Amino acid sequence: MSSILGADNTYNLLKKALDASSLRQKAISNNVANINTPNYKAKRVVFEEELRKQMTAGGNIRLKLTNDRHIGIQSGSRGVEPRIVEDRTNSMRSDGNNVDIDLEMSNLASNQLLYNTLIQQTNNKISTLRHVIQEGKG
Amino acid sequence: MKVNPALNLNSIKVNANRQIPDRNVDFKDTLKNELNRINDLQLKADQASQQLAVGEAEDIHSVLLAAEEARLALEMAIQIRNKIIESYQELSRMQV
Amino acid sequence: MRIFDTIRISATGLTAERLRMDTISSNIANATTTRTEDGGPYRRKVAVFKEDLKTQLDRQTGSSVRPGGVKAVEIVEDESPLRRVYDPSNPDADEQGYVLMPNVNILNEMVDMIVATRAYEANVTAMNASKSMMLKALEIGRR
Repeated sequence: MSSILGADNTYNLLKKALDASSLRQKAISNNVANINTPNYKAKRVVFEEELRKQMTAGGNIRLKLTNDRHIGIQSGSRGVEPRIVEDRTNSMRSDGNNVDIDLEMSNLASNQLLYNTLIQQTNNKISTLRHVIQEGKG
Repeated sequence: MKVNPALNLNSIKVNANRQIPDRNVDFKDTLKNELNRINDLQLKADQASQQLAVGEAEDIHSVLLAAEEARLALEMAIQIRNKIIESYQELSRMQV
Repeated sequence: MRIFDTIRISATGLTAERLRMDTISSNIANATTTRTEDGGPYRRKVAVFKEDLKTQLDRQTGSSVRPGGVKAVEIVEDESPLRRVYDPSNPDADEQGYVLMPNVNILNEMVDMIVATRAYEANVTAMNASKSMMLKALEIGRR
């Protein structure tokens, strides 16, 4: 019961995704702020790709556990942390900066929508659970 | 007249045999443990609020979600408490 | 306040672009200034910016460097040659009738101004997006 919500894999995943989205917002803001800074390299947040890799790996390969305390491959979100990497691709600009303002602006819009959706879904999870706890009276 | 059974009783029996609850676990201990864990969640939520107040919190959503988790756990505990008291009263009203 | 990092980053962008705008305004205003405090004609000023990295342990990403936006390092003078204009009527003209004019090219300044304006707007957009995300986060648990 310690984690009526915490035991929910989807809920944990949503929480992780919220962290990633929040971090991505930071990265985008930083890219926009440094749009005219010479030799600045755009920052990106990697999360979804690695998460997907891990989840499919956990789905296809199952380690046989001979003891309850052995650690198997988790098909959940555990272990994958969103992190910031630098975009090293070359730029067409003469000042060594590779921020593409149009890309950043579209990322900004989609990230905002993603964040809002994630919040909405988390809220749904919470209110569904509350509905159940209150036996449909709440 | 033959009535079709609504449930396949045999399958229920099989299922019932499969999961035998651990008889060594005391109800009192279980309840205590769970209450402690709920308390931990409250403490975690408090800690998140404190971090927010001193400017250490990382994100708004983590603070709010911690509070929400704690609140839901507490609501759950209150419901369980109500059920326990209800069943106790039911028992005490029983004619022996 | 860590939770407002995103907004603060956008704010550093706004400050930077405003500073750039200030230098551009100064350059345009002084496009024909032939006398300055240091003597000699005005020299074009350029604001130099640098990425601001906070070296503070980030629990979320595990890295020790957090993005902190942009900061102005210094305002340097453009050392490119001054313009020599023939104008004998100017009191600052030399014996041959030539005046040293500031190395400000109005056309370049106008282009820089548009760039700065656009960058400023982009930062405003980013800041508004962050703000609306935070407001959305406040809906958690609202019944």
